[in-house]
Amino acid sequence: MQSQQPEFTAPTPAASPTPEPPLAQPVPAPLAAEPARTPFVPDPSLDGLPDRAVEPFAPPSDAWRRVSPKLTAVKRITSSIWLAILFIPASVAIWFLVPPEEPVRWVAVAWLALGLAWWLWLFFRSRRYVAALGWARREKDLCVVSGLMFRRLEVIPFGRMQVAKVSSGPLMQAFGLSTVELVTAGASATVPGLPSDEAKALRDLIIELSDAEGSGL
Amino acid sequence: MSDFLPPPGPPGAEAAPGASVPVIEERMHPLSPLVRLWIGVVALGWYVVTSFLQGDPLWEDVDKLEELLTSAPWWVYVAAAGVAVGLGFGYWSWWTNRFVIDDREFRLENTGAFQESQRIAFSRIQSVDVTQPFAARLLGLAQVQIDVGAEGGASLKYLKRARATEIRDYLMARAHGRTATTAEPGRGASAWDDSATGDHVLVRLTPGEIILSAFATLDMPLIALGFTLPWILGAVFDWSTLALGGGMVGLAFALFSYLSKRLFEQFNYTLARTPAGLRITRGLFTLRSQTIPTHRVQAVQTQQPLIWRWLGRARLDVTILGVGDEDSDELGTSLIYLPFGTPAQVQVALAALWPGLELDQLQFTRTPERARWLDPLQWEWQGYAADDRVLVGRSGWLHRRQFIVPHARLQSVTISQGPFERRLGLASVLTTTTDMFDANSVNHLGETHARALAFAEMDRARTSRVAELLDPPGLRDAVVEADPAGVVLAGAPDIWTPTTAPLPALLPAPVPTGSAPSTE
Repeated sequence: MQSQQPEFTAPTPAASPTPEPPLAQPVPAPLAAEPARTPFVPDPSLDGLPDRAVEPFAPPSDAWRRVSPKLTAVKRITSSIWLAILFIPASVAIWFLVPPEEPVRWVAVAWLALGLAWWLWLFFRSRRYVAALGWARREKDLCVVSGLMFRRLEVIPFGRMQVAKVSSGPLMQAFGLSTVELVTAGASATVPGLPSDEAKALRDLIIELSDAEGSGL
Repeated sequence: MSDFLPPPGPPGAEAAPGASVPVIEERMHPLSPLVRLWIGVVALGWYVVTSFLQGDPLWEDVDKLEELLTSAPWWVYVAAAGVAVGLGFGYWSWWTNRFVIDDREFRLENTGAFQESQRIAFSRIQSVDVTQPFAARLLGLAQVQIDVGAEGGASLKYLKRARATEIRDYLMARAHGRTATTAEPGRGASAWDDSATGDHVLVRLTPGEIILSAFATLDMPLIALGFTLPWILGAVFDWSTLALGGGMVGLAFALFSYLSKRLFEQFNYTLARTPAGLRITRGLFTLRSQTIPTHRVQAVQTQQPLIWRWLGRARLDVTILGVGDEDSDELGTSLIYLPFGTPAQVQVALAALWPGLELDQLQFTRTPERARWLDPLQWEWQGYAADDRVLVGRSGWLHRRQFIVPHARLQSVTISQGPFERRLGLASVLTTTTDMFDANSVNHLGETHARALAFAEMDRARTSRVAELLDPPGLRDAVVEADPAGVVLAGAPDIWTPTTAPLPALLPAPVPTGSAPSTE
């Protein structure tokens, strides 16, 4: 599932408006034996495409442009803050306020254990989660991939853009990161944790391409 | 609106020379304030009439009026004062409000305490609807609602029924860039209908069908069960009926809103093609006549509850860009387009939106056999089809749903895959339009298939969007006056065949159909 190794040397997106080879349907090398267990009526537009030939979350163009690995640190700090707010004070309060002979006191330990387990899960997961985030340009569409267990690949035409947002909270600013959001009338795609200059370049790319394509509704 | 136009001069001064378009300048109907306050007026009148009928005050002793007035309960005074103040304001605003239709725009002029002039250019008008609320309908009045597709529409409350339809037809004609007169012969609504000689009725539902549609769902038995179950339980366990009463009120509301949505509002349903566009007329108490702007339709959904499947019927819902929240026949942001239709009627209604679309001619692609692990029950129905205009996807087990999205309206596409899907090598494709239905995804396709579908769909969306930009449909579909369907109503098209059934070979199959689906 982690077939893509994260590339932390993200190419500058300013170079990306150069036309890329159309990769609408990556045609793989024909597989020797197509499993006979998929007897469904073929879509004529998918003619000659074996059913499991392409990894479904493969980049549409050359490679996914990965987000900055510093986002891992931001995610870890955020989950630590939640741990400190949600779990630690409640546990400490219960532990010291409830008299020792009451069995309710052990709720504090259980609550803290739950919080720690959740925090540890996020702590070790976040590096891989960030490594799995990426965006790519497919001719006139923005593709955003995300998720480890539940994976998503969003394809949004630049021409559908209503708003292009760059935002950066205090923690993200401390790491020099920004989040780019492409809002359409239907859905919106978010690319979190890009280096700020790259985020601005992506925003400019989105705006430039949406002007060329423009049909919001 | 634009404030830089010169103030309206004397009537006719603004009209372009040579253009003999008469300027309409009118007040609403004088009964309008009464209709707006009809509940108060009726209640007060009812009190007066009943107290006389009961014989408390006799007609002869009018001289005892003072005694009569003092003996009336206090709330009568409050109600009377409320009605009087309301009528006073109502008539003040009736006197100070006028609407003006000149050669280039529609204006709503208020010359009361605030000087207001709301202008709507003809080209901004998206649709004009005529509604007859119950009280207005009894008095032969109707309301004209001007929709501009965003904030800033206007409504004329109330006009005479015939005048309202005249204004509607005139405004629609001007909105489509045609010159027209307000006195087109042969048009005009009645209290029961809004059809005219030039209209081509596509679908008309009988009261029996509407009643059947309301009662032949599982919602109705559930509500009935909700009513009876507490009584049974109360009898068995000897609960107090007072506690049950609270639940009853909620249930009564649920029942009423269900009936009003499915029965009263859908009564007398007629779908017709008129010179001004596609029009739906319906309503038992409030008769609503609505023009569907076909080029703003975002998505259509067909729904079949279990019992409807046995009857072979379906409901069509539609989401329309900018069609708002105030109307009560809406489910979320969607509108019931066809409340209860046979396959032929569904086909006709769809062909009215997208001429030439025939659901039974679409070639559906099923999900692979291994998807049965995830959808053991709905696999038979699941699948998708795409032609050059729309994408159709099916889902649901007992309650079968099918979404229809025109490629040109597609906003984005998402491929998603959960852990179980990954094990089976499946992925789902979610489609997004501006207003969406819940069932908007093609679930559990083969991974590669899903990816190819998503990307192919984006390309198709772009192609049709460009085609639409070059040839805007907003003006075109107004001009279509011919029979849009071209669909023969005789014979039931086979549109509910589950996708597992062997499909007719309509397209020359590129791959040998030896791997025909087995219904195993």
